[in-house]
Amino acid sequence: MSSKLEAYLSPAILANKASIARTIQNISVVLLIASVVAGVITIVDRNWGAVRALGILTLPLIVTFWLSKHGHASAAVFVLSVSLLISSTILATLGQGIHDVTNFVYPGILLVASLVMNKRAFSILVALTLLAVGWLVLGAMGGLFVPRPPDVGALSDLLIVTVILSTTAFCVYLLSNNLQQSLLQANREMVEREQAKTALHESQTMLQLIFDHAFDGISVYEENLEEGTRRLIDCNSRYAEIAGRSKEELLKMGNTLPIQKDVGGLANRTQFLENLSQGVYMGRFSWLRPDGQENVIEYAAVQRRVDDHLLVIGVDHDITAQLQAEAALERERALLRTLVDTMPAAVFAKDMNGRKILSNSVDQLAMGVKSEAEALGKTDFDVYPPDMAMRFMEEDRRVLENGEVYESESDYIDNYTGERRWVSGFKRPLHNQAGQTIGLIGSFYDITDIKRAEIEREKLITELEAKNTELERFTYTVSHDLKSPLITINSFVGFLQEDLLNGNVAQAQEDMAQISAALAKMEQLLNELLELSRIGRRINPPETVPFEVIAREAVELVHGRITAGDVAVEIMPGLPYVRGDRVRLVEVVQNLVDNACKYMGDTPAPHIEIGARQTETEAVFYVRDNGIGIEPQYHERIFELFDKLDPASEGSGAGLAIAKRIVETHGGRIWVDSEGHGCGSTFCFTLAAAL
Amino acid sequence: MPTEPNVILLVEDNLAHAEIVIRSFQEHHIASHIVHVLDGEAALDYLLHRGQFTETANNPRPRVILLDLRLPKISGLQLLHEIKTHESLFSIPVVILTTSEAEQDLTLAYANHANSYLVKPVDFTKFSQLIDDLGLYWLDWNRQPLN
Repeated sequence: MSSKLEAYLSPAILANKASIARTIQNISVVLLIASVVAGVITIVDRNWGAVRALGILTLPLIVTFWLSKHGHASAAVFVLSVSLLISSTILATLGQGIHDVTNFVYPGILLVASLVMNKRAFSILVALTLLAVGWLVLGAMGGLFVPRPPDVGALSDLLIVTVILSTTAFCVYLLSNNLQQSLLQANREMVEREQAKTALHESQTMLQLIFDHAFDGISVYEENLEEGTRRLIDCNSRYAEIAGRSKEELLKMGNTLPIQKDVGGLANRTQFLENLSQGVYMGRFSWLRPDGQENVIEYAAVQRRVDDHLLVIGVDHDITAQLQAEAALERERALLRTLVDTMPAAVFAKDMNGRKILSNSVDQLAMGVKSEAEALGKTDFDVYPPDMAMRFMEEDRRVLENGEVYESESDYIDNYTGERRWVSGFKRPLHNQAGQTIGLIGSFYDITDIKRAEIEREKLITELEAKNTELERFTYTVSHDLKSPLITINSFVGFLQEDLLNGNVAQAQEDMAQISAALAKMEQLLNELLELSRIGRRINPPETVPFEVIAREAVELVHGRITAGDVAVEIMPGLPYVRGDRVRLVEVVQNLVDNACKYMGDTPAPHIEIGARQTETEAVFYVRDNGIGIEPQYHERIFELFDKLDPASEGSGAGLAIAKRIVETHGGRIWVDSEGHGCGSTFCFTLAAAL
Repeated sequence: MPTEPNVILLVEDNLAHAEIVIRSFQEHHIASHIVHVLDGEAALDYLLHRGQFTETANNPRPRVILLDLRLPKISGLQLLHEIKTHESLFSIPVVILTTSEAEQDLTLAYANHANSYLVKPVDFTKFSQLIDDLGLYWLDWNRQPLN
């Protein structure tokens, strides 16, 4: 029962006081107009009492208007309602009492008021209304006033009721409209709130997922600034994993600082909080895990104030593996770098434009720079002579464009010492991980020593082979030519025996002559062999002598034969100096002059010319005669040991061989120019040390 | 039995050696007439009836040629080659008689179609024996066509 009464009496929930106030405003204005209209009607009706009653309304209406303008809706409505009540009661009292049409106002007031006022005010209003009604009935019954008798029906009544009803309806409409709006708004707000709740739930779920599955450790600490303590209030599983303890353990511990070790930055908690207050704090530390393992953590934290609590949300990122990899990389890098720098070969790398991006100490030396910094960025054109640089550039181009591996052995003239050096090297393209060419790497090392040794070896081998061949020929010749007189001797000894047995003395004497001759021949052969072998080992130290002097000495030694053959000998002027074994050189010229005399033949005016001519590179000495000449096919053979073209002639046939040997040990060559029989011969030779 | 003496052409530049050969032949009474020339040029002159040997009648074709390898100007091997490639001369047996035992000389001699290769012994007795056997073999035992 009382709840029903309350429900009837209690107003709807007003969402917006401001709009209500505005509504009241409007209502008061309307009422003002209404009362004016009613007043006009009563004036026409000469109901002066009514006019006065309505006049009483004016002030309250103005007050209502003023109150509602200032937002005091309930107060405004109270004032309005009460004043309306009073004035309508007065009107009714002056009118027909309980039967007056103005009593239509009572329900109207109550209806409107119920929509706006609170419980207490409304109950007061209801009480006042009952009082008013009570007055009208009981007052009239008690003769306190005399109500006018009811009319049959005046037009003014109709108008008044119309006004009252329409006003009431209008007010109700306005207020219910307002109410409707508020309801709609409340509904909307509820929906919104629901949506917001769902969205929040979604977002929370997602955050939780991130929190739980993050690969880094996430922790939430609460800092108590006054007590100077901190407490772990939440963390994810990864955090526990990194710490090497269970989540429960950590939560129980609360403050995990004691099992952390600062690796870089964080000195103490105060500093930490100080840094934190300036934004995001970042640092490095390691956990002291129960299993003994220590891993390095990179840590970032932000703070957040929630009510009185300072929350610190941190992210722990395990960088142990990364640091180890970096350390290993650094070690390897250092190792490689040391290797590259201490290698005896040059190591370098260039980019696609041919600029140095790596240069070890040997390469720097070749470039003529003192440090890698000086070398970097330079191209070959910056440090090498243009023709060399061009060559290098071409090699580089082939490597970079065609992906060729370029290997080469080349020689160059050293910039500083001017000597010839050899290098062996290679260049190959450098690729990135995608397989594209990003430059080239190369290396070269000095093989000058090796090369020189090779050249020396080649030379020695050739020399050795030549000497071997010569030795073989020598041995052959010697055995052959020594055997011959031996056969002669033996045979004639045999014949001698026979002849003596037969008593053939004359023949025996001839035999003995043959034997003697053979023996002499052998002796000569042996002497010349000795001479030849001796030439190989130079006995006398080299001298620098004018060739003219040598020529004269030689001519002197052949004096006998020259005079005997009536040969004219001419020594040309302006002969150069020579350097060598003086005695041997004289021997050469002596042999040549001797031969020239021996092979003059029947020439009427035998003539020998000794001279020298200069070519671009060397001096060529010659002994020219106008003798019998030598057929071209024998030009090589005559220098062979004991190989005589005319066996009947004097000598063993070793002269030219000896001369050749001497010339060759002096680093020169000997040859003959002759057109053939009867055209004379020119024997020429060079000496390496001729000046 | 041939009526005229067998002609042996001896090509030897060493006079002493030539004398040894000739005397040996004489001592062994080998019926032969030895023509001695000193070099390859003269040898060809004889064989081809030119130079100083244009008289064919006086210079009969030799039954065998004794050839030393060490000759001045044209070498023994060259002469051998000449003879063995000459249409009218290659059928004449050429016996190399030299001091050289070198393998190379042997090879080259046979390569140039030498009929035989003899090395002059240092020992006199052996030399004598060699000449004796040589005469016996090439002049008595060995048959040759008549033309």
